[in-house]
Amino acid sequence: MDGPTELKAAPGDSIRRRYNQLLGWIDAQKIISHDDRVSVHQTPNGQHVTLVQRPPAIVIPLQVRASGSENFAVAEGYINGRLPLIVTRTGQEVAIVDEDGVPHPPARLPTGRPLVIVAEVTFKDDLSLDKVVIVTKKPAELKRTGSAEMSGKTLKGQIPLAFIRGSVFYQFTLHNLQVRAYRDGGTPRIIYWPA
Amino acid sequence: MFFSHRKHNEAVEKAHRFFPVRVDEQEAPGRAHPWQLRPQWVEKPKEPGKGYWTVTPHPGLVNGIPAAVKMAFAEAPLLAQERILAEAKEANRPRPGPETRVDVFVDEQASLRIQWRAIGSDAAPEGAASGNADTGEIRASFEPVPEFFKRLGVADANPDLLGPQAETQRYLRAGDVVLNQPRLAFANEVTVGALVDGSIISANPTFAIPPDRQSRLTATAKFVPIRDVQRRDLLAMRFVDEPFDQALIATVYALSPPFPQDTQINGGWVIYIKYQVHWNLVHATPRIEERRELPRITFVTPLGLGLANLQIAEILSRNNDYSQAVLDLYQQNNLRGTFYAV
Repeated sequence: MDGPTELKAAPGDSIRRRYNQLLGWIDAQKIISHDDRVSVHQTPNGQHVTLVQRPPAIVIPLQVRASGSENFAVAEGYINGRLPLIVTRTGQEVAIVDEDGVPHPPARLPTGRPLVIVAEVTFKDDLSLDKVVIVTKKPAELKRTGSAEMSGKTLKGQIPLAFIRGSVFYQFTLHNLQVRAYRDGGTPRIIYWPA
Repeated sequence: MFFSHRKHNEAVEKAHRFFPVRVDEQEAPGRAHPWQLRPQWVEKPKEPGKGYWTVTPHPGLVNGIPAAVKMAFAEAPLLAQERILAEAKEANRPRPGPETRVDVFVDEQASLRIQWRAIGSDAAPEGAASGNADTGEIRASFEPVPEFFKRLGVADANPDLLGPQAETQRYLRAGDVVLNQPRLAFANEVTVGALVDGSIISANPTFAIPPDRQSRLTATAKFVPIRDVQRRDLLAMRFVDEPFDQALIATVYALSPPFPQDTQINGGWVIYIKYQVHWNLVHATPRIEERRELPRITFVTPLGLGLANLQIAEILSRNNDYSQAVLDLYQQNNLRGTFYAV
């Protein structure tokens, strides 16, 4: 139906049927917004549509997001050019996203708060990067910036990615990252910077 | 057919609900960056017209943890009060009093009360003043008014302290918001030894350990960077390595209306903010260097049947101790860290 002109009644038409069609047409004129860039308010004097000029969404590399209340997922992002791993609820280590950039099954978010989501970086004996796994830590478990620990022949350090106290994540890193391990007078250390 | 007026009015009401359609555009507030400040005038409940300016920072993180603000418990947001009470109960600590200063984190809507300094015609002079006996002038230096505010009608101060106050259309106030990051510091213990143990003077670098590593935001009228250790301080073996690093986050300016009736700041003043930091920060401190020891110089002589050795040893001992102390202090005299954005 294009408009109310088609609802005009001709002599002999059932007025009640036409009238109900007219009401149906009026009902169909209700504007519904499916996007937060358009807000609609119905007022006693008609509908008020506001077009909100929101900036386009920015996808932050390694952005940590809640997935329900018990899980978290991490957006596509790279550390030393490789995708970090995430530990799924079944204990599997998988890349944070698949080849198409779609997040893999999320990781479990422990109930305690506050928490820091960290990328745990492991280096081999020759100081080349072995793997990066994203895990949760309590703030008190965070190591001093730059410090690392030797575990057998491997060297481990931490890069904080996000912080959560209640249900909102505050993103710490906003870029892809480069990380390097080195021995400073025998002391293992790491340094990371935006890439 | 029977067609009632109620039926007709039903159609009118429906039509009114959806027509006309009015469309307008609205700009959404931009995304806040870490440390972005939201100013607010807080009126004192019992003194109408009187109050103070606060700023609420958008959460900024240091090393992945939100910074905190020390606030009176009674002024802390409800969520923070609940957390603090729960923590006190769990640790079996007494409940904090209304004036107890507590850590409220920036992700808990912590706010800071701005401390102000005057800039422009009614500002206080900075540093020493110099007099001219011939002209009778006493000149002083003042913090210059930023060009932006000059264009809005704020006049620079009159550098002649005995001259009239510079005429201005508007008054300007400013306050700084500073990030403090506790860290390990050197504590220089200088001891003067008794000659009997062979030492004259020794500087023993030890450490001052801060009570925690929680970064905190503070409001101060004017941020003064921590002074570098000077060479003369080293030679006198008297220097201070503060157990914290600082970064100026932003300067908050308050501009009066034109030709205000009084210079007291109030809710009618306009707030402008100049940011120095827009990112979360990493803070890292340098490695503690291993202490190097100078080989002690000795000299043995048969002069005076060996009796001269005592005097020579005393002179050399003084020299050795000073040399070692100076080496210690030159090698590493502070553990100042660096902030960088990530």
